[in-house]
Amino acid sequence: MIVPTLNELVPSYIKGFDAYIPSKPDPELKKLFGCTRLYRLNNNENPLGPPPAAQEVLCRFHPPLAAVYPSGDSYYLREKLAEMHGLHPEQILVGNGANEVITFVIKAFCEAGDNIITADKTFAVYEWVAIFSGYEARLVPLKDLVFDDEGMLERIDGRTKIIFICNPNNPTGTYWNREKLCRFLDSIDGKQIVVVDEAYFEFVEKEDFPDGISLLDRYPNLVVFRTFSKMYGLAGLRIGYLAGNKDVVEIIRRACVVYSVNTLAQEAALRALDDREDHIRRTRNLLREEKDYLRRHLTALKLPFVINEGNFVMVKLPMSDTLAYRKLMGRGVMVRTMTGFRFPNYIRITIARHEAMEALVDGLKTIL
Amino acid sequence: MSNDNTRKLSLELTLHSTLLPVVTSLTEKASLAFGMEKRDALRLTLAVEEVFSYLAQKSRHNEMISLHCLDGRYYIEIKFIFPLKDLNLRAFNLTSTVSPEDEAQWEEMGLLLASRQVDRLQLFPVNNRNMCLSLSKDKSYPKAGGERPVLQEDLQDFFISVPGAEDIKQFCRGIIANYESYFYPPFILLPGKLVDMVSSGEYHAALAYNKKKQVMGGIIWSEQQEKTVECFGPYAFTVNPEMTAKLLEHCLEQVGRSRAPGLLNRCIRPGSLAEGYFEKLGATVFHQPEGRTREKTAFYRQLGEDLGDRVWVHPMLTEFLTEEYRRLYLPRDIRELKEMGEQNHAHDLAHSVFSCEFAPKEVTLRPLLGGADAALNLEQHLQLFAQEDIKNIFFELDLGEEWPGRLVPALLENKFYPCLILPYAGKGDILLFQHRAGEKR
Repeated sequence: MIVPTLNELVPSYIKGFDAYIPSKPDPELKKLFGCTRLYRLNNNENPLGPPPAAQEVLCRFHPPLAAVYPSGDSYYLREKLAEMHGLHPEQILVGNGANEVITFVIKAFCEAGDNIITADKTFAVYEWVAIFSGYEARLVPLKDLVFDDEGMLERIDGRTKIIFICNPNNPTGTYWNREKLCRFLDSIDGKQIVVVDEAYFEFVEKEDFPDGISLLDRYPNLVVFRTFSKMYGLAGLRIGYLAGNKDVVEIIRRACVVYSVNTLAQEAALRALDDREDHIRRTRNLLREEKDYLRRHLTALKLPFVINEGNFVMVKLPMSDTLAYRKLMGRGVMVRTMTGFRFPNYIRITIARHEAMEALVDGLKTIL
Repeated sequence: MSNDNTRKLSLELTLHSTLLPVVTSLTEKASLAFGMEKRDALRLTLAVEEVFSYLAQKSRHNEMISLHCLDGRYYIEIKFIFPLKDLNLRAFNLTSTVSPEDEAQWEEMGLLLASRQVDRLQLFPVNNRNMCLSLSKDKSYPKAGGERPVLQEDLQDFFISVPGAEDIKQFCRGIIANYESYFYPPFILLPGKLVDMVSSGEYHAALAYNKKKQVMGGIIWSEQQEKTVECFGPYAFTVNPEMTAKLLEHCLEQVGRSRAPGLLNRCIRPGSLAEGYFEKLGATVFHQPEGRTREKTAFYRQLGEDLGDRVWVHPMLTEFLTEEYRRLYLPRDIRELKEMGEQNHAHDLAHSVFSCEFAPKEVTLRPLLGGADAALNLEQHLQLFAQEDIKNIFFELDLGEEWPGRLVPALLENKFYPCLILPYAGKGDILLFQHRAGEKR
């Protein structure tokens, strides 16, 4: 008798996990939904693109360089980042987007029977990587839309290796201030690795918002994630990094795949850092104006909303978010549905140029 | 899906009639060990006897078969898995041994006899190399009456929690007292069964409590399957829209990151708040035992963003499906099937094959193979169902594949009418047809 072998080869934690299927390319989506233009308000990308100096790198890239392997450990970029943050280059690890460095950290510290702790309503990749790697993901409910420090401390046991905090949180935009973060790190007392994901760091203008990297000296168990995908507009090139204590980063590096960051991404990221100040200022100005615009119109539409830090807002609809997605797509507006973030009937909207925000408001008026 | 504590046993044996006593003995003893009442165990054993004898009769020399008994806590499932190689699938039509002119032959049908003894009988391919014939029989539970809870304290103040066994039973009695039977599934009448369904891990329940820890309402949902999660409720024993919304949101938060594409709900009261979380897919007409009929609306919501899909459509249904997809805002690349004189494998086959899944007074047909005799085969199935007094007859057509679409003329000819689309419920969307005997085309 023929025995189905594939089933026996697959670990149980993979059997219970489904592959994430990303959305189709824009031309395919336009064809499917019958729209002539598409405003992408689903991925929290920067509508201004990368800083001009980084754009220049992209324009003048010498094609034969594509045949040459990149710097395997992003040598110059790590030097630049170290200088910028007052760290040693060995305290920096660059990856193919922040998603890759999440994987590095989990692989470096977890083994069978271990667990990680994070929130239930936050960026899903911490939870996903843990689960499909065979580790338990302990999810602590947000408290008033904020990471619950006490709740997370209560869930720690002898097998807890990593705690992930998204600061500011995607998708609520709430954050822990410096005092709260330090108090939490003091309570942990170095017993677990604490990852603070600061993917949206550059968007925050609040005085009390903590710069995690500045706390590395004080907390050797702290690892901070940053990305070039959001403020720096390089999402299409996939590049992000982590910073931590030298010994911690050395351990993580053992689980890291070298050469995963391409030459163009490294070059563009370097130049983006050189040209960041005006770019950040312009982006923040746009966010302020368009958040005000949305706040006014969402209030007029009587739609509950969550507008905090970051380049996104959440809106609660009186209908299924997945149905709203399809209806808005038909009008050329692509939002992120939030059922998968455990916020049913909410949509998350990336703040973009005014024309796109107008299209969104018009779309909402039509579908409601 | 069964939890890790599931008790199960397997046996591999030659498909030979001399081994029948081994199979029946194993089934009966396993059923009793799994906590089934003697009467039910004997009926399951009888079904297994029919199926094994039938397969042995149809098998080639020394063919191997595996038998799996599973304690699903509230039911027992027996699976026969056998290789497809050289097997004449036609034998798995319920009507395979029947001549429409000779009703006397009907009693010879092992599969039909087996289906009468169990709650569910299903035939489906496994890994393209094997077939699985699954028989499931539910255990017996005492029926409960309704009991309207006398709620005290502030009815607006509530919390949601995972219930224990006694609260689940209380919840069932509350539903029976507060809702028409039309708005809850039959297992609500058997609270002990729901307790076992939840402890099996196949179902989940969340209840709303007041400060005195009295049950104020709740919701039930099935474990996430690859295809669709079904939820029942939310049920509320007091007017509290916030509680209703929170119960539904609780369920959605639990399944939102699952691999299921959607959440189906066929128990929503018209005009209830829950409607705002769902989309109306369409309705089926349900024939009740006392002869009445009632329209049952299927509500659905996707759990993720629709990525778009291609569907294969017979020209006779193009207009209907185009309109339905437009109404549901489902992005689909509709590809019409065109007969252009080519040799079509499915149609070159002489015999079509349909699998049947039986539920009480209900049967769902699914095509395993297309064939030139599809219309006649359907007609024979309908005659059988009429004999069995089964009036709720459905046919699932997978629009994600080309060949099933060619069965559409046979379906329409036999008074099967398309009633609703279940997005991504098969290889693509499933189009559900319902047989309407009294209607003329």
